[in-house]
Amino acid sequence: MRKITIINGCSDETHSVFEEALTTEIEKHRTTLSVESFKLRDMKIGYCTGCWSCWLKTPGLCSMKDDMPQILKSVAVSDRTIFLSPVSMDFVTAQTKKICDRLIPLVHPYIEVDVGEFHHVRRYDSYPELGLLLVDPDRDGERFDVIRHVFERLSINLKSSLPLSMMIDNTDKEAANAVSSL
Amino acid sequence: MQYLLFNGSPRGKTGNSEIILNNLIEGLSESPDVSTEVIRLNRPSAREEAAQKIVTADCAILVFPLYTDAMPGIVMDFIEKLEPYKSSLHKLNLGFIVHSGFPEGKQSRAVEKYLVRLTTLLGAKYAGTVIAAGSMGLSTKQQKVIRELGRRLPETLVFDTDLIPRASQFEELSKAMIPIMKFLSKAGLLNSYWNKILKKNGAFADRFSKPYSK
Repeated sequence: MRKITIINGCSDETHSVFEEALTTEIEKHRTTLSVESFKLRDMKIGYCTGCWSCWLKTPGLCSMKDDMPQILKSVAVSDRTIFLSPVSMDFVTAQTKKICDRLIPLVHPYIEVDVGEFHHVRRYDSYPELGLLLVDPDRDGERFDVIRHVFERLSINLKSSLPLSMMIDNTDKEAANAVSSL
Repeated sequence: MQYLLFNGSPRGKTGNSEIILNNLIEGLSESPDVSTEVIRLNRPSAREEAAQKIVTADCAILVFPLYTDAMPGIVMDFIEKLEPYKSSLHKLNLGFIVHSGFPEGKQSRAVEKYLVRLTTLLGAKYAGTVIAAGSMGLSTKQQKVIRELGRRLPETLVFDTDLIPRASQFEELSKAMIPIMKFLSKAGLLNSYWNKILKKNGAFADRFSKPYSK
């Protein structure tokens, strides 16, 4: 069974009907997909303070005492980790970006030259593929490209790739479409 | 002229954003009638305050370190607080300084595209984005360029486009440099800085630990 981690960065209840539709669709795929979903707005997770404990004091472990380890454990063993976020100020939500920052314990402080650029050295033997599901009822393609580019870069730095990136509106049909491409 | 300067580093006063801001202020201060106000965004209340103050500002510069290929989470939290002011900050000139541990300017280009969009979204005038790559050791030359950018900013309220490229160590590795850097990296010569701290912290032996592995 494929393990999927969903990082749900919807900041409030605006998209709750769509979130329910996603849950319903995921249920339909339960024989092939093992999905672990994290609703960030119900979790206690702080912003990265840039203390570098996870690199230099307790390698691989974040020093903040909050709910983030649940997500780190899930991401580390997943086949694919999906960022689900509505558009917020032409980007993903601060909730979503906060999690990107808090993923740095998964890589090493060391740098190396990879694909002609400096990148961090891997800490783990394998990393999940990344995915971006951007909820955007306006379907603004240019805006999507700017956000996707950031997540493509993030996937390189996390020793991974971004095989899935989709702009979706918040309808049931789109929920089914998104889940079938997980 | 009042300049609002935002320090977007989670490390606040103790990071490279502060060093960059100090150099920028030094340059700005050479012009007459310049007043500067620094707001450090690493406290939630400061992000509220910053959002309220930007409404009346003529020029604001946001400085932040590159965190996972974009702005730190606290900076995005601040940006979300600007939602009520979309398409309304017409008198604002908004500029950015992004610094990264990575030495290549290229690593910050993705977020630069976003910052252009953000400025448009707010209805503000774009003062440019300065990318100060290689801030692991911000060189005296880079600091000098930032002072010069500050010195020239009051003329047009836009960063001098001829100076901007000089704030980064380099844009990307040249074809000739890639094998040299690969060699240095294999020889372990790129990571002596990290090793020194790891050893000092008694964490060197555990440096490759995998606490969340299967």
